[in-house]
This record gives sequence, structure tokens and C-alpha cells, in this order.
Amino acid sequence: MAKKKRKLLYTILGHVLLLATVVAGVLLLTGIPMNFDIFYEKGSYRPNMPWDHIWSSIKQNFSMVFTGEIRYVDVLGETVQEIFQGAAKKSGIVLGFGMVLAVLVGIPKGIMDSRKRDQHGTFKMLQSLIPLSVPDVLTIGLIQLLALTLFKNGMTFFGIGPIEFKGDQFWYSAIYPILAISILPAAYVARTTATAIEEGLSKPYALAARGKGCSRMRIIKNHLMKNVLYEVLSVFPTILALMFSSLIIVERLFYYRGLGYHMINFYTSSRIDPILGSTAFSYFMTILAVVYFLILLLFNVLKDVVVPKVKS
Amino acid sequence: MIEVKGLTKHFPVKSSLLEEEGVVHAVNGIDFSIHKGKTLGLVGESGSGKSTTGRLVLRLLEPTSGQVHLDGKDISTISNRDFRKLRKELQIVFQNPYSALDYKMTIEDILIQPLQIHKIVEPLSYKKEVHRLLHLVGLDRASAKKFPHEFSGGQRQRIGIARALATNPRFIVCDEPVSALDVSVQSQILNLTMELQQEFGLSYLFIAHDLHVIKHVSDEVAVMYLGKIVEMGEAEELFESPLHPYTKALIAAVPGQKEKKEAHRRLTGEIPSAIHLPSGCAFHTRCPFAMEVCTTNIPILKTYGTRQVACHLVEQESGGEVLG
Repeated sequence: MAKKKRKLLYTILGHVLLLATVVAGVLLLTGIPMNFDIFYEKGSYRPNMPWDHIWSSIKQNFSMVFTGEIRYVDVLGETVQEIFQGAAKKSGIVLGFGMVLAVLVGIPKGIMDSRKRDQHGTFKMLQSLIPLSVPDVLTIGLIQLLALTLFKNGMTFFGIGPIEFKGDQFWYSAIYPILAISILPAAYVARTTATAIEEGLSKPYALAARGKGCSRMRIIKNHLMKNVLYEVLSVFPTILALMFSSLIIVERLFYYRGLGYHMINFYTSSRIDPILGSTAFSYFMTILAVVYFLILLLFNVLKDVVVPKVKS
Repeated sequence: MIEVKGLTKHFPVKSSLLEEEGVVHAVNGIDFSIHKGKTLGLVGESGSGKSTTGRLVLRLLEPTSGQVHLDGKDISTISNRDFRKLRKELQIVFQNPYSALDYKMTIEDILIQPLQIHKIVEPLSYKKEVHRLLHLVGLDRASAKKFPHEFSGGQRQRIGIARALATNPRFIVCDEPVSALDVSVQSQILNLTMELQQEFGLSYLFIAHDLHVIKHVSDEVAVMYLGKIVEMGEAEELFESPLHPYTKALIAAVPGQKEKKEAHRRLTGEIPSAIHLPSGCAFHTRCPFAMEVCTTNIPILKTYGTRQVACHLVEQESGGEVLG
């Protein structure tokens, strides 16, 4: 018991240390002034500003974050905190529902895939590999193309729509971003599920269950589901990282004003002062890093606490 | 009761994503029968196809060809759905008691599952039935609430036997049930299987590579080499006067068989690949008595008295007469 507690403590400590390192890295990088450049002059490379200036900008970045001043920086009439709150809600919806959709689609697909693999191994494997191999920007682009086609043809679903292919005015505007962000994770979950099932089915206890007269579905439900959930929990940090990185592309392409959209906007909009943009970007990045690591920690603790028997 | 005819299993082997390299000839057209209340011992080296045979009989693997008859009815062609109902008649005890029990389930859940599937008893009697099964295999009722990892290897194998008995089967494949256990525990498990056989009139296909074990439990013995039965006969007689050079070599390899070791030459080398089977008699590459004919002609299992042997030498020596 003491060993388990110690292990849990080490897991938490490890994550906190990692988080601290990442946050420091983020603040260091985002503290560099946005107009910083290096140019070639008289046979050597020089920065376009004094090192002291760069260093004080980084220090100011750290100080603004740790004193909380950063929250009140004004960007186009709104504080960074206000922008973040509005955007976080939108992105939370996309990420949350996207994750749920990925699991709801991925696990049943994985169960079906593991069945097909018995008969048409190569074809089945390609089915999983193709979505994982295609660049996510292409997948997201295809979803937008589909959205555009459906909108132009005035298609409605269950009385909803036609849904605009971009924007975030209505609650259902989130549908396409959710769909786009969940495809790659769903393929990942499906592949993990299929592999876990195939591995499980070759175990003697699964064979014994078949010998007892269990159907395939019953074996999966009663004997293999915990292993599948454990494996899916194990790949969640990877899935989460995929979703965070896709978030920027999805929100930008669908003009869905969440965190990703704003982060791009801080850097690209000519209406925003570069220094203010950089500060706002630091704020967003720091909070995203904290949230990501908290979720990562949660999943790792869940794995150890909820399903320790499977792990052992 | 159980009759196997021409049972064959070939596993395709892939060399790349799309191409098939060849096939593993795991089981190559074997025939045998097991009568009610009797035990057929299946013996041979690792890779000879013993476990595959056991799994084919229970349709845990689908045969490439051949038939398995249960009380005269061909069970190798009936649908999976229909066969699932028949599974209660045919059970298996696995080699490794550590991996054969689902570590996430209590013993009670493991034993209740077959009762539920085949509706062996009313749901209200599940616990009573679990206690009866545990008692049958010499475990106390407190074991029901424990997980597999709380038991020793011998106790786990008892649980494996209890699980097999839960459906009141008539036939059990014992796939090397004692090979993973300590010698001190082996005899307990063997005696238990034999007592249960007497009590319930069970038939066993007993797979092992330990000749002592096979001799102890079997009424009849079949010796397998590279997916074929090379010799089959009554246990006592077969061990007393083996005819096939492979059977002789296996017996000679048993420690404490000095006289027999001198009489029969010892086996050398490894069993050949089951992908590229040797031509003619599969054993000719290791047989100290191999002749020209052995390299070209596949010997057929022929009857000599109460014995069946697939060997050109035995055929030549008998001159077509019944030996023994």
C-alpha cells in the first residue's frame, strides 16, 4: 500500500516538474519580443536589438504571469482574461465533445476492425492506417469541403441547418469543428482497441471463455473490455496532444473563435500591437500547458488508481 | 464417442504484407477415436501438433479439412451458433494455469459464467453450484470470493478443472495440464483427473510430452511427429514394445531406461520445420534406420494386431504379417 502511495506521489511530482519546465520554456520563448530578428552585418550575425532589451522583455513576461498582471492587458478593447474566458468555452465544447465522439466511434470501430482482421487482414489494416497517415490539415480540409457542399445544397439534418461551413454564431456551428477534430483521434482509438482485442483474444483465458461457449461479443465485454479501456487511457495523452495541435487548424479554417483561432490572430492580425499580441499569446499558451498537464496527470492517476489490476 | 477423421490444419505464413510465403503443416490428416470413459494420450515433441489437435477437436481452431464426430454426428461443419450449444459437452483444461484464468474476475464469476451461458442450474442456485464444484476439486468455499492471483499453481489448475466440469461435459481435452506445475503437485492433479473420470465417466484427450504422465493416465496412446500420428495402440503394450523408431527413441530418452537406451538409438537433432516438410517419411531426417524408400514414400498408418504404425521399416520387417 505504501509502495502504491509512493508511486502515485512520484507520478504527481514528475508531472509537476515537467509542467514547471514546460511553462518556463513557454514564457522564455514567448517573452522574446515579436519584432526580434537576427541580421548579417560586417561578417557576423547580430540581433536587431540589444540583448538587455530581450532579457528584460523575458523577465517582464515572467513577472506579468506570476503577478497575474497579464490578465488585465488590453487587446482591442477587451482584457486578455475576457478573451480567454469566451474562447475557452468554445474550445472546451469542441475538445470535450470531440473526445467523447472519438471514443464513442473509435471503440465500436475497433471492435469491428478486430473482427475483420481475421478475414481480410491487409485491407483492414489499411483502413486504420490511412486516416492516421493523412496529414490532419487535409482531413480537416475535406470536412470543410463537405460542409461547404452540404451548405450550398441547403442540406438539413433533423431539422437543423443548413449549417454554415464557417463561423460560431449558433450552438450547431460547433458540429463541423467537433467532427473535424475527432476523426484522427477516433482512428487512433479504433486502432488501439483493435490491437488490444486481438492481443486479448489470443490469451488462454479468452480461449477458455470461448470453450465455455461465450460468443465473441461476450468475451470482449466480460474479459477484454477492461484491457481495452486501459489501453485507450494509455494513449489519451497522445490523443489529447493531437487534438490540441489540430485545434488551431480547425478553429482557423472554420472561423470558430476559440483558443486556437485567437492564438493565430494575436500573431497575424495587423490591428494588434506585436507586444500586446505576444503577451496575450503567452497567457493562452501558459494556461493551455497547465490544462494539458492537469489532464495528463488525471489520466495517469486514473490508470494507476482505477485499473491497477489490469496494469499489474 | 469422439471420432476424428482426416483432421488437417494448415496455417498460412506471410512473408510480407501481401504475399503468402507458405503454410505451416501443423496437423496432417490424423484419425483416432476415444471411447466413453477412456483416455487417449497424445504424446510428441514440442511442435508436433498435439495442442493444435486438441483445439481442432474443440473447434477453438477451425480445421482446414477433416471431420470430428461426437456420437456419430459431424460437429466440424455445424454453424458456430449451433456449436456453441454443444460446447458444454466438450471442455478443455489448459497447460498454464497462470494465464488460463481471467485475473480480473473472482473464482465465483469464472465458475458462474458457464452456468449462465448453458443454463446448467437456476440463477438462485449459482452459489451452491460454485461451492459444489470447488468441493469436487478439493477447494474450500472461501476460495469463491478470491482472485486467481491469490492461489498457487496447483490450486489454479484445480480451478481450471472445476471450470471445465461446470458444464457437466462428457469429453475434456487436457492440454498438458501438469507441465507447468511442481512435480509434487503434478501427481495430485493427475489423481484428481482420474478420480473425476471414474466418478463422471469422462473421456479425455490427454496431451503431454512427459511419457511418465502419459503412461500413468492413458488407456490408449497416440505418438505424433510433425502433425502425423506415427504409432497408436494400447498404452501398456506400446510402452512395453514400441514399434516405430520415433516411439522407441522417445522411450529411450526417458531417464532410468538403461536397457532400452542400448536397444534403441537416441534421438538427435531438432524437429524439422513444419513449413518445409521433409519428403517421404517426415522422420527420415532423424531416423537411425532410414532407408531409401523412406526419403521418397510417405508411410501410411497400418494396423499390426492391436497397434497402428506408419513406418516402412516395420512394414518390411513384418513382411505384411501381423506383428506383436
